[in-house]
Amino acid sequence: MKALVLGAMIASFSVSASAQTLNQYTLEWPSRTQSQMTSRMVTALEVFLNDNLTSAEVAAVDAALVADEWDHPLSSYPDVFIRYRTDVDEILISNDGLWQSYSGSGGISQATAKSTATGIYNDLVAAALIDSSDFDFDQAKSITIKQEYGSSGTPGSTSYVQEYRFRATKERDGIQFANGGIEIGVDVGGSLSHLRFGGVKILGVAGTFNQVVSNGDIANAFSALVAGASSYSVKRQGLEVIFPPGSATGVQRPTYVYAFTLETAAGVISRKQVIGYDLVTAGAPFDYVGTDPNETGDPR
Amino acid sequence: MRHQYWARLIGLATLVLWTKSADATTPPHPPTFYIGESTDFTGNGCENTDLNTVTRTLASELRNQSWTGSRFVNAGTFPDDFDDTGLTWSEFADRSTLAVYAGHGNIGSLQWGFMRNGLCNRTFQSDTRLGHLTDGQAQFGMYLTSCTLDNDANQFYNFQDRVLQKFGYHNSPTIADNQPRDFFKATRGRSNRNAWLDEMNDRPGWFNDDNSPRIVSFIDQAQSPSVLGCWLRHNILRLRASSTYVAETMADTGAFWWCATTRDEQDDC
Repeated sequence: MKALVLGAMIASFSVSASAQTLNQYTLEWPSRTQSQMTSRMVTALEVFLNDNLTSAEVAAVDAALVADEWDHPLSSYPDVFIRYRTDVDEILISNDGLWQSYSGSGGISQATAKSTATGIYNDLVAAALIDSSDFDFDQAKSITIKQEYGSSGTPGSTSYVQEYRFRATKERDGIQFANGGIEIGVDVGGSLSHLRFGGVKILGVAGTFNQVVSNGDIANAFSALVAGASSYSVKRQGLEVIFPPGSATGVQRPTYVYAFTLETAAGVISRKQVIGYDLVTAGAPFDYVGTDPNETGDPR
Repeated sequence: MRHQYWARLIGLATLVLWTKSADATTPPHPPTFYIGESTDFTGNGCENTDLNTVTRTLASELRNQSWTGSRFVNAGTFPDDFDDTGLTWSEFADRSTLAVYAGHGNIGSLQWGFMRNGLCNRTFQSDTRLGHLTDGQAQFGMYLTSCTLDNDANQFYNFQDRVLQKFGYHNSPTIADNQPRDFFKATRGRSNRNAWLDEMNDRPGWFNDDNSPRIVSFIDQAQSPSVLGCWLRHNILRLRASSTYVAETMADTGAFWWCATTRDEQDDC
């Protein structure tokens, strides 16, 4: 996490009092033993497949995790891909074989898919793989995986939904915790297709703090930051607790986050930046993506 | 799921048969790469925001897997590396299996950080001819930029490049340093399609980046009478398994099918 510097567009702003009192939280990036990781993956697979794994399959999962190979280790389910990111405690399971079953039309509705996804979500809670107090899955964001095709020389295309996905970010007190969440996918045939969950663990509230930098001052600072651009687009803004991967266990308070892009006069759009303003100490925002302007490559 | 496994084998066999009639140009083997990356956009004639580095570990992993190639960064990468004008330097992007650019962009276009020969931007329509004409070796194009594969302007039907697949974004992404490496790593066992969608959306350890990765595949209509051949190619090619594409090419001319998969976050460019 670095202080943001955008050329000469460095924000400076005044401090004014604000009466808002907010919670701060103790967070950690879980560190698990090999057997714990295998146990979590096996449990998640059994929820995903609605089937019990054999001892041989458990051994195959364990071997894949030990080797850090991202692959399809189950002989009975050769299309099921697994990946465990140990650095961010994140599990991914995908049924890679479902692309063959697409028909290009029809299929279940998004509401039906959401109902299936909610059932799996409840199963994961019952299996103690996720904590229901971290989520409001009813409010999960709806995402679609779309297929589209066409022919050269002919404008226009045909598109259809192949899969519905529902992603919930962890939250407490109505504030998102950007570094933890869950995503569940259901294909248009009604089969469970995708599961990703994990991230930072919320250990609890660690007292309160008073917001000192007002929301108005933060808005002014952001306006000054983007003033040099031809135009800009705010993709997301609001209070978030951000605890970047690699952080040690500790107390974190929310920051006021902007995710945004800039557009140049020539019509070039920047990659999306994510910055956060501290609510207690005024100053340059935290940059949650970072920059490496001095990067060098091969000699030419 | 067992019947799906057999269906996949049948599909693969069908694609192999089509391969026999592919265009005669032989791509390089073992595979090669060309990477251009801009992170410094301040004071070099092409102003924009500075960026994080996203291809360093990709290049390392490619080399670990016996790929050969070059990674040119900032003042070392030239906008006209992607042009097809008969340029003669040996690092030309179209002399590699995989051509990568990381920086800024827009629909069908790319922006470099250092101006060269008066150029900052290149477009697919006007400037690039990956996969044919001069050199013509590129089979894959990867664009770690904003909106380059946005199809709202209906650009795919008129692409001038002739590659097997393009990897990019529909919207403006936030990309972590190692995500492109992890995409390549995942193609050991997964299709490029699935790996691109799952590795290039949220950064690892983040759950609200809202990236919309998109992968587009192409196939000559002379090789495949229906769009089905495009979908088979789309779902089978794996970068780390060169056997899935070593004999695959696109003809220099003629009609083609395109087919794409997108993670749609309801976020336009």
